[in-house]
Amino acid sequence: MANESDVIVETKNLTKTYRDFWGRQKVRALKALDLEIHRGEIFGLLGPNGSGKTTTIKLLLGLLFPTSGEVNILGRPASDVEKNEHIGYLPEESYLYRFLNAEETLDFYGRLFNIPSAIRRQRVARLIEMVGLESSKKRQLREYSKGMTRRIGLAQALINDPDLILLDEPTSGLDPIGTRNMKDMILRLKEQGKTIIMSSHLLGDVQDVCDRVGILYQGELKELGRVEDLLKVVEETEFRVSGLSDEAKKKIEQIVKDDKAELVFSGNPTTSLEDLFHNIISQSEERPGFRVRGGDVAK
Amino acid sequence: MILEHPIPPFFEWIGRAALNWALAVVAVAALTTVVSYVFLMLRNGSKQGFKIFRSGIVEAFKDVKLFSWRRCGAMALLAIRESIRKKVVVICVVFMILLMFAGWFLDPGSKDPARLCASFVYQATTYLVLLLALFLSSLSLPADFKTKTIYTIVTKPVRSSEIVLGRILGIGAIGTGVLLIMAVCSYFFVSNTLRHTHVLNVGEDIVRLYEDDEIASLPPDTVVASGQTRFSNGHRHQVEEYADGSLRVFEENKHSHSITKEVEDKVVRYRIGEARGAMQAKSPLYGKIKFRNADGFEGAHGVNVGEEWAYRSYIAGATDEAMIWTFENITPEAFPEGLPVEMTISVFRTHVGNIEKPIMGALYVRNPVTGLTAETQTFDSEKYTTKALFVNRKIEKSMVEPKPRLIKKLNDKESFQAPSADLPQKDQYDLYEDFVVDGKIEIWLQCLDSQQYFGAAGPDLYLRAADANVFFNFVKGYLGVWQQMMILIAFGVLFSAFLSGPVAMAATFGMLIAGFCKTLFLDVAHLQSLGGGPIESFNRLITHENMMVDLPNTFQTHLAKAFDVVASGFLSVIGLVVPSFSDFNYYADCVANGYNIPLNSICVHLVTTLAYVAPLFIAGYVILRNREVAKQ
Ligand SMILES: Nc1ncnc2c1ncn2[C@@H]1O[C@H](COP(=O)(O)OP(=O)(O)OP(=O)(O)O)[C@@H](O)[C@H]1O
Ligand SMILES: [Mg+2]
Repeated sequence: MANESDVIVETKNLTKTYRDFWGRQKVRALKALDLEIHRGEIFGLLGPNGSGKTTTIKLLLGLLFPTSGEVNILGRPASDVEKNEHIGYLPEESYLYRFLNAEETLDFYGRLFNIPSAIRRQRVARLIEMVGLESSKKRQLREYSKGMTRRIGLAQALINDPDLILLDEPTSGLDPIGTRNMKDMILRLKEQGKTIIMSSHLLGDVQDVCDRVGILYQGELKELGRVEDLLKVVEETEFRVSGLSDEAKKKIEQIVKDDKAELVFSGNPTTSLEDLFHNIISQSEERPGFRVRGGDVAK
Repeated sequence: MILEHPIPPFFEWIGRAALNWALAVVAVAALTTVVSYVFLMLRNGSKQGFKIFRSGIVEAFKDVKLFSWRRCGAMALLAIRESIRKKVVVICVVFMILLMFAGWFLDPGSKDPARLCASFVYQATTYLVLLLALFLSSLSLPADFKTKTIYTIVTKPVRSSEIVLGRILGIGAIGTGVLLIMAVCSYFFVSNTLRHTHVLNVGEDIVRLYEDDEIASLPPDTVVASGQTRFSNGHRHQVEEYADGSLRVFEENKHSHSITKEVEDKVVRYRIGEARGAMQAKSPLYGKIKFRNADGFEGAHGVNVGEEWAYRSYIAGATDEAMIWTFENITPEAFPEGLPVEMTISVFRTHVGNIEKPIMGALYVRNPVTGLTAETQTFDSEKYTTKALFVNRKIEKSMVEPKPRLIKKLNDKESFQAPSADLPQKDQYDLYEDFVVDGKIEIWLQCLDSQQYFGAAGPDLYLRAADANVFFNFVKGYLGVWQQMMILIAFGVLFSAFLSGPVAMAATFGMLIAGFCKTLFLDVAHLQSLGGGPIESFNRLITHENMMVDLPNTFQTHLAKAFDVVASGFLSVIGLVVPSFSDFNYYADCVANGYNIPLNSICVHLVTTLAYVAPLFIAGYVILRNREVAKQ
């Protein structure tokens, strides 16, 4: 089990109340959040719009000052600048300089870290390749589409090879392929021993990659735990079988009936839409042409 | 050139100035610290408040210790890229077009075309560059906040100090680049405008008065040919040839021309060269002035002839009153041939007499220790024209025997060191052996006509050292603009650290205006301006009341005056920190008047600039450091 030294982010009674210019209370965006995040895990902040996910991440980074409570991140307070040496942050929307091109962007952010220039240049090239922007690396970001900006935003967050990565809705604005890539990337980063905190309102995103999730609702932490545990619907059972004969199916239905249980669903399992999309693309790269399910149509 | 506030020698100035500055900065810093401490105590309670306060102090020390020029450079580079990509170059183009058009409006035939052109280009660049600096500095950081790019910056290990200084330096670099381009363009514009020659045709424009064979027998300074050139740039020059073959083009509109004479098959032709001396970079060496009254006592002031402005002091003619300049650092290396004296003496006539007839004056050098006095040079003085005299290195006669009228009382007065009798009598004296002591020499000036007065202030008489390079002096003149620009940028970045773009720009612009008319600003602040303080004046404005009339003794008036007292206190505080931008006109004035800009004033002004930029930077850093970035 995780011991004390493994706690990489810790919040105690973290509260944020937005006030207007006159100091009047506007929104209580986060209420007494207690959280511990361990080294090497992927932690998902889940919740509907306006539930306080972004607020939490900003508080962790010191972009917002807490109304009360404390943040300890990488063993330092949130206001400490030095913690940033080991942190990567992908904001909700990619807030980048639109007059720079992809290469210049990464080079600029790289210069803010103590990285030797040779390594910096290598890393810039590698990250651009990784996020698939090689063909447009000389174009100014003002010309980029939303998804492209998102990709360069991610690259920017990884320029310092951070230990802790905070991703605010990493999949927003990405196409299914991009989403898939992003998830793969997150899993790969975990393999490299990085800790990741990501927020999302898409259950699917979190389900696929997160080890643990916290569910926020109106600024309060409602649930906290391992994904499997949270998603397990104990009363239901799912079997996935291939090559089952009709006879065997009938037998199973009979067994269910005997057990006084109710058959909720039976049929062919589906892959997710995402998988399907991915398959189509990857196959069409091997064999270009228009393809319809069930057979190829001649070009 | 008249300087109301002469620039003090750097090393005399720096000690006191630095002390005052340090006191002010420490006072502000201490006040800020105390106020923020109290604020934290009140807001967060004593325990939590103290914790925040302490961590703030610790962080501040860390910010100093871990400041990185690499990151600061990256931020500066970003600011430069931003300015370039946002088409700053446009400003430069506008300027060049302006120059091209201005050529049509500037009158090259003016009495002082160099001054006209130089003033124009300096003004034009000042306005354009300050405008540029205003926009860049006050909009850059707010844009980061607005687009939230600041999120991706402050979550990197960048310190606020690096962000603020990077902005100041980056925008400063852009401004410097633009300024340099403008400086060089302006130089070529000005020298191009001033460039001209004249036509001088023998027979039509100039008449030869003697046959060639007659000339040899004439005295060398006889005029053998005389005439006027054709008009060019709205003026023409008198030209004379002398029996000894020398030629002279008389000065007109502050310049003259080279002239050559060609004889080909007995046909004489004159060729006038390019304008000479239109732009100069004279390097005056100033002395300290004192006035000696008729009784031989010396003081800082002479006679007051009742002029309202007491800039100049006067001495009476045909008395023993004298104006004495003491010069230091006179070396044979600096003045190998002798001392070139230039002076602009003011004349005050108690009786008009013959107004055409100039007033006579006498000038001589004197050994400040032994009192040995060189032969007198007399000159005639017209009001406000610059006279040039030359004190030769070899001096034939001295006045160890004091001339009765000029220094007859030398021996009577104790306050006056008499030339001792045992001074060696020589046939010829050397300036440096006999008159200069430890690099010091005195120049005495007296007025010879009775009931007339000579007046001067310290800078009215100077020794003219070797001229400086005109081009570099011209470019140096842009240092004044540069310094204003840097101060403005620092203000802009400071305001933009906590205000939104338009508001920051307005505040910076306000500073600029206040700086341009600092005197007026302080008058208003101290309720000394005509028509009362700001509210009272406004009241007069809307009621169409005359500025001199006392307002009716109503509640309204009292209220306005009460508000003015409050406003006055506020404005006075601002007045303390408002830089006097008009002081920097000194540079343009120097160039326009043909003077080299002395290193001393550059040093003084550079340090002044730094004295502004440094605390503004620190203030900007402190504000940004404590700003909640993601608020809004
Ligand atoms: N600067 C602000 N000023 C005032 N209220 C704010 C501010 N930022 C956020 N809020 C409020 O705080 C609450 C939480 O906002 P937050 O951005 O953290 O939500 P979120 O979970 O990230 O939502 P989303 O899924 O839409 O990104 C919301 O009610 C929001 O209106
Ligand atoms: Mg959000």
